[in-house]
Amino acid sequence: MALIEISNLNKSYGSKLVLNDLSLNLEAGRIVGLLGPNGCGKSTLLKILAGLISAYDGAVLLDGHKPDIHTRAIVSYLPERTYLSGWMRPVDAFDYFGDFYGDFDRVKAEDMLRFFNLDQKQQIKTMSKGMKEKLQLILVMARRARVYLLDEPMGGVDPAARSAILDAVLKNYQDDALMVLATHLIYDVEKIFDEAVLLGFGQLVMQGETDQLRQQYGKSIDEIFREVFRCSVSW
Amino acid sequence: MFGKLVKHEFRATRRIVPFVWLGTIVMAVLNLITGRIGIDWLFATSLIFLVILAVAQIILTYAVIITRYYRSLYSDEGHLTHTLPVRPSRVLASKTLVSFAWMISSVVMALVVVVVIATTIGSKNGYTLSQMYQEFRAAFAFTDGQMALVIGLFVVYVIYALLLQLAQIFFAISFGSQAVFHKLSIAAPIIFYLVFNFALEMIMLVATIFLPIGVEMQLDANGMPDSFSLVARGMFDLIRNPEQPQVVFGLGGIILSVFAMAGLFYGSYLLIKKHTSLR
Repeated sequence: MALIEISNLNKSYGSKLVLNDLSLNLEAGRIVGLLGPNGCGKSTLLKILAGLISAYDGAVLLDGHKPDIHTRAIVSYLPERTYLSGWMRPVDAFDYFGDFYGDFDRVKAEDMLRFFNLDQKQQIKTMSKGMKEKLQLILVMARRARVYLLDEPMGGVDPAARSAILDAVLKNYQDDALMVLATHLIYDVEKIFDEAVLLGFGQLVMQGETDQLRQQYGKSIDEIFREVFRCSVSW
Repeated sequence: MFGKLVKHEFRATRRIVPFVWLGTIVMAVLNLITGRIGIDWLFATSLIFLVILAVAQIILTYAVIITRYYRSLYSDEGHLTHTLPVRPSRVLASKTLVSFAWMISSVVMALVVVVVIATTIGSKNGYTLSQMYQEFRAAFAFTDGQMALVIGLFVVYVIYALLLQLAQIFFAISFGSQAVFHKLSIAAPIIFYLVFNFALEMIMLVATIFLPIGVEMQLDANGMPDSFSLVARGMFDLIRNPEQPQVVFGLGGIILSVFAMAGLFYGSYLLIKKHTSLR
Protein backbone atom coordinates (compact mmCIF):
# COMPACT_ATOMS: atom_id res chain seq x y z
CA MET A 1 0.00 0.00 0.00
CA ALA A 2 1.26 3.47 -0.87
CA LEU A 3 2.21 5.69 2.05
CA ILE A 4 0.76 8.72 0.26
CA GLU A 5 -2.37 8.31 -1.87
CA ILE A 6 -3.73 11.30 -3.75
CA SER A 7 -6.85 11.00 -5.91
CA ASN A 8 -8.43 13.68 -8.06
CA LEU A 9 -6.99 16.50 -5.99
CA ASN A 10 -8.15 19.99 -6.90
CA LYS A 11 -7.10 23.17 -5.16
CA SER A 12 -7.65 26.74 -6.24
CA TYR A 13 -6.86 30.15 -4.80
CA GLY A 14 -9.83 32.26 -5.78
CA SER A 15 -10.31 31.71 -9.50
CA LYS A 16 -6.77 30.38 -10.00
CA LEU A 17 -6.66 26.59 -10.21
CA VAL A 18 -3.37 25.44 -8.68
CA LEU A 19 -3.85 21.67 -8.53
CA ASN A 20 -5.98 20.19 -11.28
CA ASP A 21 -7.34 16.66 -10.82
CA LEU A 22 -4.02 15.40 -9.54
CA SER A 23 -3.71 11.69 -8.73
CA LEU A 24 -0.49 10.30 -7.34
CA ASN A 25 0.70 7.38 -5.20
CA LEU A 26 4.04 7.44 -3.40
CA GLU A 27 5.53 4.49 -1.56
CA ALA A 28 7.72 4.24 1.50
CA GLY A 29 11.48 3.78 1.20
CA ARG A 30 11.97 6.24 -1.63
CA ILE A 31 13.34 9.71 -2.21
CA VAL A 32 11.01 11.49 -4.61
CA GLY A 33 11.90 14.65 -6.48
CA LEU A 34 8.85 16.89 -6.87
CA LEU A 35 9.78 19.04 -9.83
CA GLY A 36 8.08 21.78 -11.75
CA PRO A 37 8.24 25.43 -12.74
CA ASN A 38 7.23 28.27 -10.43
CA GLY A 39 3.56 28.29 -9.58
CA CYS A 40 2.95 24.71 -10.66
CA GLY A 41 1.54 23.73 -7.26
CA LYS A 42 4.54 22.01 -5.60
CA SER A 43 4.39 24.01 -2.39
CA THR A 44 0.60 23.81 -2.27
CA LEU A 45 0.76 20.02 -2.59
CA LEU A 46 3.29 19.80 0.23
CA LYS A 47 1.17 22.12 2.42
CA ILE A 48 -1.86 19.89 1.87
CA LEU A 49 0.17 16.82 2.80
CA ALA A 50 1.56 18.59 5.88
CA GLY A 51 -1.97 19.49 7.00
CA LEU A 52 -1.54 23.23 6.52
CA ILE A 53 -4.26 23.51 3.91
CA SER A 54 -7.52 21.74 4.63
CA ALA A 55 -9.77 23.38 2.03
CA TYR A 56 -9.42 21.27 -1.13
CA ASP A 57 -11.41 18.81 -3.24
CA GLY A 58 -10.41 15.21 -3.75
CA ALA A 59 -8.88 12.58 -1.50
CA VAL A 60 -5.51 12.77 0.25
CA LEU A 61 -4.37 9.94 2.51
CA LEU A 62 -1.13 9.56 4.44
CA ASP A 63 -0.67 6.16 6.02
CA GLY A 64 -4.40 5.64 5.44
CA HIS A 65 -5.43 8.85 7.23
CA LYS A 66 -6.59 12.21 5.98
CA PRO A 67 -4.08 14.91 7.04
CA ASP A 68 -4.84 15.29 10.73
CA ILE A 69 -3.25 15.08 14.15
CA HIS A 70 -2.10 11.49 13.44
CA THR A 71 -0.37 12.34 10.17
CA ARG A 72 1.27 15.44 11.68
CA ALA A 73 3.04 13.16 14.12
CA ILE A 74 4.58 11.09 11.31
CA VAL A 75 5.27 13.92 8.86
CA SER A 76 8.40 16.06 9.10
CA TYR A 77 7.77 19.18 7.06
CA LEU A 78 10.28 21.79 5.98
CA PRO A 79 8.60 24.87 4.50
CA GLU A 80 10.46 27.28 2.26
CA ARG A 81 10.07 30.01 4.89
CA THR A 82 11.63 30.47 8.32
CA TYR A 83 9.08 29.16 10.79
CA LEU A 84 11.08 29.66 13.97
CA SER A 85 10.71 32.71 16.19
CA GLY A 86 13.58 35.20 15.99
CA TRP A 87 14.27 35.08 19.74
CA MET A 88 14.89 31.33 19.66
CA ARG A 89 18.33 29.78 19.66
CA PRO A 90 19.02 26.31 18.26
CA VAL A 91 18.94 24.95 21.80
CA ASP A 92 15.42 26.39 22.29
CA ALA A 93 14.29 24.93 18.98
CA PHE A 94 15.61 21.51 20.05
CA ASP A 95 13.62 21.79 23.30
CA TYR A 96 10.53 22.70 21.29
CA PHE A 97 10.85 19.81 18.84
CA GLY A 98 11.81 17.41 21.62
CA ASP A 99 8.63 18.27 23.50
CA PHE A 100 6.22 17.95 20.60
CA TYR A 101 7.71 15.20 18.46
CA GLY A 102 8.34 11.87 20.12
CA ASP A 103 10.58 10.87 17.21
CA PHE A 104 12.96 13.83 17.58
CA ASP A 105 16.53 12.68 18.18
CA ARG A 106 18.34 15.44 20.08
CA VAL A 107 21.76 13.76 19.90
CA LYS A 108 21.45 13.54 16.14
CA ALA A 109 20.38 17.20 16.00
CA GLU A 110 23.41 18.28 18.05
CA ASP A 111 25.70 16.23 15.79
CA MET A 112 24.24 17.92 12.72
CA LEU A 113 24.59 21.33 14.35
CA ARG A 114 28.31 20.68 14.80
CA PHE A 115 28.51 19.31 11.25
CA PHE A 116 27.09 22.57 9.92
CA ASN A 117 29.25 24.59 12.28
CA LEU A 118 26.32 26.41 13.88
CA ASP A 119 26.38 27.85 17.39
CA GLN A 120 23.63 26.43 19.58
CA LYS A 121 23.41 29.67 21.57
CA GLN A 122 23.09 32.05 18.59
CA GLN A 123 19.71 33.73 18.26
CA ILE A 124 17.90 32.95 15.03
CA LYS A 125 17.27 36.62 14.27
CA THR A 126 21.05 37.13 14.00
CA MET A 127 21.52 34.22 11.59
CA SER A 128 21.89 34.51 7.82
CA LYS A 129 19.24 33.01 5.52
CA GLY A 130 21.48 30.04 4.80
CA MET A 131 22.12 29.40 8.50
CA LYS A 132 18.39 29.47 9.22
CA GLU A 133 17.76 27.00 6.41
CA LYS A 134 20.44 24.69 7.75
CA LEU A 135 18.96 24.86 11.25
CA GLN A 136 15.48 24.07 9.98
CA LEU A 137 16.86 21.19 7.95
CA ILE A 138 18.55 19.87 11.09
CA LEU A 139 15.26 20.01 13.00
CA VAL A 140 13.41 18.21 10.24
CA MET A 141 16.03 15.55 9.56
CA ALA A 142 16.68 14.84 13.24
CA ARG A 143 13.21 13.36 13.44
CA ARG A 144 12.69 9.66 12.75
CA ALA A 145 9.62 10.47 10.70
CA ARG A 146 7.87 8.22 8.23
CA VAL A 147 7.35 11.03 5.72
CA TYR A 148 9.71 13.93 5.05
CA LEU A 149 8.35 16.84 3.03
CA LEU A 150 11.11 19.27 2.05
CA ASP A 151 10.15 22.42 0.17
CA GLU A 152 13.17 23.98 -1.51
CA PRO A 153 15.64 22.95 1.20
CA MET A 154 18.58 24.55 -0.58
CA GLY A 155 17.01 27.70 -1.92
CA GLY A 156 19.08 30.08 0.20
CA VAL A 157 22.42 28.36 0.50
CA ASP A 158 25.59 28.72 -1.51
CA PRO A 159 26.64 25.96 -3.95
CA ALA A 160 29.37 24.74 -1.58
CA ALA A 161 26.85 24.18 1.18
CA ARG A 162 24.44 22.33 -1.08
CA SER A 163 26.52 19.17 -1.22
CA ALA A 164 26.93 19.29 2.56
CA ILE A 165 23.15 19.56 2.90
CA LEU A 166 22.62 16.69 0.50
CA ASP A 167 25.08 14.59 2.49
CA ALA A 168 23.20 15.43 5.69
CA VAL A 169 19.88 14.55 4.10
CA LEU A 170 21.16 11.20 2.83
CA LYS A 171 22.97 10.37 6.06
CA ASN A 172 19.93 11.04 8.22
CA TYR A 173 17.22 9.70 5.96
CA GLN A 174 15.55 6.53 7.26
CA ASP A 175 15.55 3.77 4.67
CA ASP A 176 11.93 2.89 5.33
CA ALA A 177 10.72 6.49 5.13
CA LEU A 178 9.36 8.44 2.20
CA MET A 179 11.02 11.71 1.32
CA VAL A 180 9.39 14.19 -1.05
CA LEU A 181 11.77 16.96 -2.04
CA ALA A 182 10.48 19.91 -4.05
CA THR A 183 13.20 21.89 -5.76
CA HIS A 184 14.24 23.99 -8.72
CA LEU A 185 17.88 22.99 -8.33
CA ILE A 186 17.49 19.69 -10.11
CA TYR A 187 21.05 19.46 -11.38
CA ASP A 188 22.40 19.56 -7.81
CA VAL A 189 20.06 16.99 -6.32
CA GLU A 190 18.89 14.60 -9.00
CA LYS A 191 21.53 12.06 -8.04
CA ILE A 192 19.71 11.32 -4.77
CA PHE A 193 16.25 10.83 -6.31
CA ASP A 194 14.80 7.34 -6.67
CA GLU A 195 11.76 8.73 -8.39
CA ALA A 196 10.83 11.96 -10.15
CA VAL A 197 7.40 13.57 -10.27
CA LEU A 198 7.05 16.41 -12.76
CA LEU A 199 4.18 18.78 -12.11
CA GLY A 200 3.06 21.24 -14.75
CA PHE A 201 0.46 23.79 -13.79
CA GLY A 202 -1.24 21.56 -11.27
CA GLN A 203 -1.21 18.43 -13.37
CA LEU A 204 1.00 15.37 -13.36
CA VAL A 205 3.21 15.61 -16.43
CA MET A 206 5.54 12.71 -15.75
CA GLN A 207 6.28 10.20 -13.01
CA GLY A 208 8.83 7.43 -12.97
CA GLU A 209 12.01 5.88 -11.63
CA THR A 210 14.86 8.30 -12.29
CA ASP A 211 17.11 5.58 -13.73
CA GLN A 212 14.38 4.46 -16.11
CA LEU A 213 13.62 8.03 -17.18
CA ARG A 214 17.31 8.70 -17.88
CA GLN A 215 17.54 5.48 -19.89
CA GLN A 216 14.30 6.10 -21.77
CA TYR A 217 15.14 9.69 -22.78
CA GLY A 218 18.92 9.35 -22.85
CA LYS A 219 19.16 12.53 -20.77
CA SER A 220 19.56 13.63 -17.20
CA ILE A 221 16.48 14.54 -15.17
CA ASP A 222 17.58 18.17 -15.35
CA GLU A 223 17.67 18.01 -19.14
CA ILE A 224 14.30 16.24 -19.29
CA PHE A 225 12.86 18.95 -17.04
CA ARG A 226 14.25 21.71 -19.27
CA GLU A 227 12.85 20.03 -22.36
CA VAL A 228 9.40 19.37 -20.89
CA PHE A 229 9.00 22.88 -19.51
CA ARG A 230 10.87 24.76 -22.23
CA CYS A 231 7.72 26.38 -23.58
CA SER A 232 6.43 27.48 -20.24
CA VAL A 233 9.84 28.77 -19.12
CA SER A 234 10.62 30.68 -22.31
CA TRP A 235 7.07 31.95 -22.40
CA MET B 1 0.69 18.10 25.18
CA PHE B 2 -1.37 20.93 26.67
CA GLY B 3 1.22 21.43 29.42
CA LYS B 4 3.97 21.62 26.80
CA LEU B 5 2.01 24.14 24.76
CA VAL B 6 1.56 26.28 27.86
CA LYS B 7 5.26 25.96 28.69
CA HIS B 8 6.39 27.11 25.25
CA GLU B 9 3.74 29.81 25.08
CA PHE B 10 5.04 31.15 28.36
CA ARG B 11 8.65 30.95 27.13
CA ALA B 12 7.76 32.89 24.00
CA THR B 13 6.05 35.70 25.90
CA ARG B 14 8.22 36.16 28.97
CA ARG B 15 11.05 38.23 27.58
CA ILE B 16 9.85 41.85 27.92
CA VAL B 17 7.08 42.35 30.48
CA PRO B 18 8.92 40.99 33.56
CA PHE B 19 11.68 43.56 33.03
CA VAL B 20 9.11 46.36 33.02
CA TRP B 21 7.65 44.86 36.21
CA LEU B 22 11.12 44.90 37.74
CA GLY B 23 11.46 48.57 36.81
CA THR B 24 8.02 49.27 38.27
CA ILE B 25 8.91 47.55 41.55
CA VAL B 26 12.20 49.46 41.79
CA MET B 27 10.37 52.72 41.13
CA ALA B 28 7.66 51.84 43.69
CA VAL B 29 10.27 51.11 46.36
CA LEU B 30 12.05 54.36 45.51
CA ASN B 31 8.75 56.20 45.75
CA LEU B 32 7.99 54.70 49.17
CA ILE B 33 11.46 55.46 50.53
CA THR B 34 11.68 59.03 49.20
CA GLY B 35 8.13 59.67 50.47
CA ARG B 36 9.17 58.55 53.94
CA ILE B 37 12.46 60.42 54.19
CA GLY B 38 11.10 63.51 52.47
CA ILE B 39 13.21 64.02 49.33
CA ASP B 40 10.44 65.79 47.50
CA TRP B 41 11.98 66.24 44.04
CA LEU B 42 12.90 62.53 43.88
CA PHE B 43 9.52 61.54 45.26
CA ALA B 44 7.73 63.56 42.56
CA THR B 45 10.00 62.22 39.81
CA SER B 46 9.62 58.60 40.92
CA LEU B 47 5.85 59.10 41.18
CA ILE B 48 5.67 60.26 37.55
CA PHE B 49 7.82 57.35 36.37
CA LEU B 50 5.79 54.93 38.48
CA VAL B 51 2.57 56.01 36.78
CA ILE B 52 4.23 55.83 33.35
CA LEU B 53 5.57 52.33 34.08
CA ALA B 54 2.22 51.15 35.43
CA VAL B 55 0.52 52.19 32.20
CA ALA B 56 3.42 50.95 30.04
CA GLN B 57 3.37 47.45 31.52
CA ILE B 58 -0.32 47.09 30.68
CA ILE B 59 0.19 48.35 27.11
CA LEU B 60 3.23 46.11 26.68
CA THR B 61 1.33 43.09 27.97
CA TYR B 62 -1.37 43.64 25.37
CA ALA B 63 1.24 44.21 22.65
CA VAL B 64 3.01 40.95 23.53
CA ILE B 65 -0.25 38.97 23.59
CA ILE B 66 -1.44 40.39 20.27
CA THR B 67 1.85 39.96 18.41
CA ARG B 68 2.36 36.44 19.79
CA TYR B 69 -1.12 35.31 18.72
CA TYR B 70 -0.77 36.85 15.27
CA ARG B 71 2.78 35.72 14.58
CA SER B 72 2.46 32.17 15.86
CA LEU B 73 -0.73 31.50 13.91
CA TYR B 74 -0.78 33.74 10.85
CA SER B 75 2.80 34.68 9.95
CA ASP B 76 5.55 32.30 8.78
CA GLU B 77 5.69 30.85 12.30
CA GLY B 78 2.23 29.45 11.63
CA HIS B 79 3.88 26.82 9.39
CA LEU B 80 5.24 25.29 12.59
CA THR B 81 2.25 25.89 14.89
CA HIS B 82 -0.24 24.41 12.45
CA THR B 83 1.85 21.31 11.77
CA LEU B 84 2.30 20.35 15.42
CA PRO B 85 0.58 17.09 16.36
CA VAL B 86 -1.82 18.88 18.70
CA ARG B 87 -5.49 19.77 18.48
CA PRO B 88 -6.36 23.36 17.50
CA SER B 89 -8.53 23.61 20.62
CA ARG B 90 -5.45 22.95 22.77
CA VAL B 91 -3.46 25.58 20.87
CA LEU B 92 -6.19 28.15 21.49
CA ALA B 93 -6.63 27.09 25.12
CA SER B 94 -2.91 27.40 25.84
CA LYS B 95 -2.78 30.86 24.28
CA THR B 96 -5.86 31.93 26.25
CA LEU B 97 -4.49 30.62 29.53
CA VAL B 98 -1.04 32.19 29.18
CA SER B 99 -2.39 35.48 27.81
CA PHE B 100 -4.89 35.66 30.66
CA ALA B 101 -2.14 34.98 33.19
CA TRP B 102 -0.10 37.89 31.79
CA MET B 103 -3.14 40.17 31.72
CA ILE B 104 -4.22 39.43 35.28
CA SER B 105 -0.64 39.83 36.47
CA SER B 106 -0.39 43.24 34.83
CA VAL B 107 -3.69 44.27 36.45
CA VAL B 108 -2.38 43.13 39.84
CA MET B 109 0.80 45.11 39.21
CA ALA B 110 -1.28 48.19 38.36
CA LEU B 111 -3.26 47.71 41.58
CA VAL B 112 -0.02 47.44 43.55
CA VAL B 113 1.07 50.76 42.05
CA VAL B 114 -2.26 52.33 43.04
CA VAL B 115 -1.80 51.06 46.60
CA VAL B 116 1.78 52.37 46.72
CA ILE B 117 0.72 55.80 45.46
CA ALA B 118 -2.22 55.88 47.89
CA THR B 119 0.11 54.94 50.73
CA THR B 120 2.75 57.57 49.97
CA ILE B 121 0.36 60.42 49.15
CA GLY B 122 -1.93 59.41 52.03
CA SER B 123 0.94 59.42 54.52
CA LYS B 124 1.91 62.92 53.41
CA ASN B 125 -1.65 64.01 54.30
CA GLY B 126 -1.74 62.10 57.58
CA TYR B 127 -3.75 59.09 56.39
CA THR B 128 -2.85 55.43 56.62
CA LEU B 129 -4.06 52.84 54.13
CA SER B 130 -6.24 51.30 56.83
CA GLN B 131 -7.91 54.65 57.52
CA MET B 132 -8.62 55.12 53.81
CA TYR B 133 -10.23 51.69 53.66
CA GLN B 134 -12.40 52.45 56.71
CA GLU B 135 -13.48 55.79 55.23
CA PHE B 136 -14.41 54.15 51.94
CA ARG B 137 -16.44 51.54 53.82
CA ALA B 138 -18.17 54.17 55.93
CA ALA B 139 -19.03 56.29 52.87
CA PHE B 140 -21.22 53.46 51.56
CA ALA B 141 -22.18 52.18 55.02
CA PHE B 142 -20.89 48.69 54.10
CA THR B 143 -20.40 46.03 56.74
CA ASP B 144 -17.23 43.89 56.64
CA GLY B 145 -19.23 41.13 54.95
CA GLN B 146 -20.54 43.53 52.30
CA MET B 147 -17.03 44.85 51.68
CA ALA B 148 -15.82 41.29 51.16
CA LEU B 149 -18.67 40.79 48.69
CA VAL B 150 -17.79 44.01 46.84
CA ILE B 151 -14.14 42.97 46.60
CA GLY B 152 -15.17 39.48 45.45
CA LEU B 153 -17.47 40.93 42.79
CA PHE B 154 -14.68 43.27 41.65
CA VAL B 155 -12.31 40.31 41.21
CA VAL B 156 -14.95 38.33 39.28
CA TYR B 157 -15.66 41.37 37.09
CA VAL B 158 -11.97 41.89 36.30
CA ILE B 159 -11.61 38.22 35.31
CA TYR B 160 -14.75 38.41 33.17
CA ALA B 161 -13.71 41.70 31.52
CA LEU B 162 -10.22 40.42 30.68
CA LEU B 163 -11.55 37.17 29.20
CA LEU B 164 -14.11 39.08 27.14
CA GLN B 165 -11.40 41.37 25.81
CA LEU B 166 -9.16 38.41 25.03
CA ALA B 167 -12.00 36.68 23.16
CA GLN B 168 -12.54 39.81 21.05
CA ILE B 169 -8.83 40.28 20.34
CA PHE B 170 -8.29 36.65 19.31
CA PHE B 171 -11.38 36.53 17.14
CA ALA B 172 -10.58 39.85 15.44
CA ILE B 173 -7.05 38.65 14.62
CA SER B 174 -8.25 35.25 13.35
CA PHE B 175 -11.07 36.76 11.33
CA GLY B 176 -9.00 39.63 9.95
CA SER B 177 -6.20 37.28 8.94
CA GLN B 178 -8.34 35.27 6.55
CA ALA B 179 -7.07 35.16 2.98
CA VAL B 180 -9.84 37.40 1.69
CA PHE B 181 -8.55 40.28 3.87
CA HIS B 182 -4.83 39.85 3.14
CA LYS B 183 -4.76 43.01 1.05
CA LEU B 184 -5.61 45.03 4.16
CA SER B 185 -2.63 43.50 6.00
CA ILE B 186 -2.62 44.19 9.78
CA ALA B 187 -5.26 46.89 9.35
CA ALA B 188 -7.91 44.16 8.96
CA PRO B 189 -7.67 42.73 12.51
CA ILE B 190 -7.63 46.28 13.94
CA ILE B 191 -10.71 47.31 11.95
CA PHE B 192 -12.54 44.12 12.91
CA TYR B 193 -11.64 44.54 16.57
CA LEU B 194 -13.11 48.06 16.56
CA VAL B 195 -16.22 46.92 14.69
CA PHE B 196 -16.83 43.86 16.90
CA ASN B 197 -16.13 45.83 20.06
CA PHE B 198 -18.54 48.61 19.11
CA ALA B 199 -21.25 46.13 18.06
CA LEU B 200 -20.86 44.13 21.26
CA GLU B 201 -20.97 47.27 23.43
CA MET B 202 -24.17 48.38 21.70
CA ILE B 203 -25.79 44.96 22.07
CA MET B 204 -24.75 44.82 25.73
CA LEU B 205 -26.18 48.29 26.35
CA VAL B 206 -29.52 47.37 24.79
CA ALA B 207 -29.59 44.07 26.70
CA THR B 208 -28.72 45.82 29.97
CA ILE B 209 -31.61 48.23 29.55
CA PHE B 210 -34.28 45.98 28.11
CA LEU B 211 -33.68 42.40 29.26
CA PRO B 212 -35.83 41.80 32.36
CA ILE B 213 -33.17 40.64 34.77
CA GLY B 214 -31.22 42.73 37.23
CA VAL B 215 -30.01 43.35 40.76
CA GLU B 216 -32.20 45.66 42.79
CA MET B 217 -30.55 47.78 45.45
CA GLN B 218 -32.87 49.03 48.20
CA LEU B 219 -31.82 52.34 49.72
CA ASP B 220 -32.28 53.33 53.33
CA ALA B 221 -33.60 56.65 54.60
CA ASN B 222 -30.17 58.27 54.10
CA GLY B 223 -30.00 57.11 50.50
CA MET B 224 -27.37 54.47 51.37
CA PRO B 225 -27.44 50.84 50.11
CA ASP B 226 -29.57 48.73 52.39
CA SER B 227 -30.13 45.38 50.68
CA PHE B 228 -29.72 43.66 47.32
CA SER B 229 -32.00 41.21 45.55
CA LEU B 230 -32.24 39.54 42.14
CA VAL B 231 -35.30 40.79 40.24
CA ALA B 232 -37.00 40.11 36.92
CA ARG B 233 -36.65 43.70 35.82
CA GLY B 234 -34.18 45.52 33.67
CA MET B 235 -33.03 49.13 33.78
CA PHE B 236 -35.80 50.19 31.42
CA ASP B 237 -38.16 50.01 34.39
CA LEU B 238 -35.94 52.50 36.20
CA ILE B 239 -35.98 54.86 33.21
CA ARG B 240 -39.79 54.72 33.13
CA ASN B 241 -40.10 55.33 36.90
CA PRO B 242 -37.13 57.48 37.95
CA GLU B 243 -38.79 58.45 41.25
CA GLN B 244 -38.84 54.93 42.72
CA PRO B 245 -36.70 54.39 45.85
CA GLN B 246 -34.76 51.40 44.45
CA VAL B 247 -31.90 51.26 42.01
CA VAL B 248 -31.82 48.43 39.45
CA PHE B 249 -28.61 47.31 37.78
CA GLY B 250 -29.44 45.42 34.58
CA LEU B 251 -27.65 42.11 34.20
CA GLY B 252 -28.86 41.40 30.66
CA GLY B 253 -25.73 42.81 29.03
CA ILE B 254 -23.35 40.83 31.20
CA ILE B 255 -25.30 37.59 30.70
CA LEU B 256 -25.43 38.14 26.96
CA SER B 257 -21.73 38.96 26.82
CA VAL B 258 -20.86 35.66 28.51
CA PHE B 259 -22.53 33.88 25.57
CA ALA B 260 -20.83 36.28 23.17
CA MET B 261 -17.48 35.49 24.79
CA ALA B 262 -18.07 31.75 24.35
CA GLY B 263 -19.13 32.39 20.74
CA LEU B 264 -16.01 34.44 20.00
CA PHE B 265 -13.69 31.79 21.44
CA TYR B 266 -15.52 29.10 19.48
CA GLY B 267 -15.32 31.23 16.33
CA SER B 268 -11.56 31.63 16.82
CA TYR B 269 -11.24 27.87 17.25
CA LEU B 270 -13.16 27.22 14.01
CA LEU B 271 -11.07 29.75 12.11
CA ILE B 272 -7.84 28.21 13.40
CA LYS B 273 -9.08 24.70 12.63
CA LYS B 274 -10.72 25.10 9.25
CA HIS B 275 -9.26 28.12 7.59
CA THR B 276 -5.58 28.19 8.18
CA SER B 277 -4.71 31.26 6.25
CA LEU B 278 -1.00 31.94 6.29
CA ARG B 279 0.29 34.91 4.40
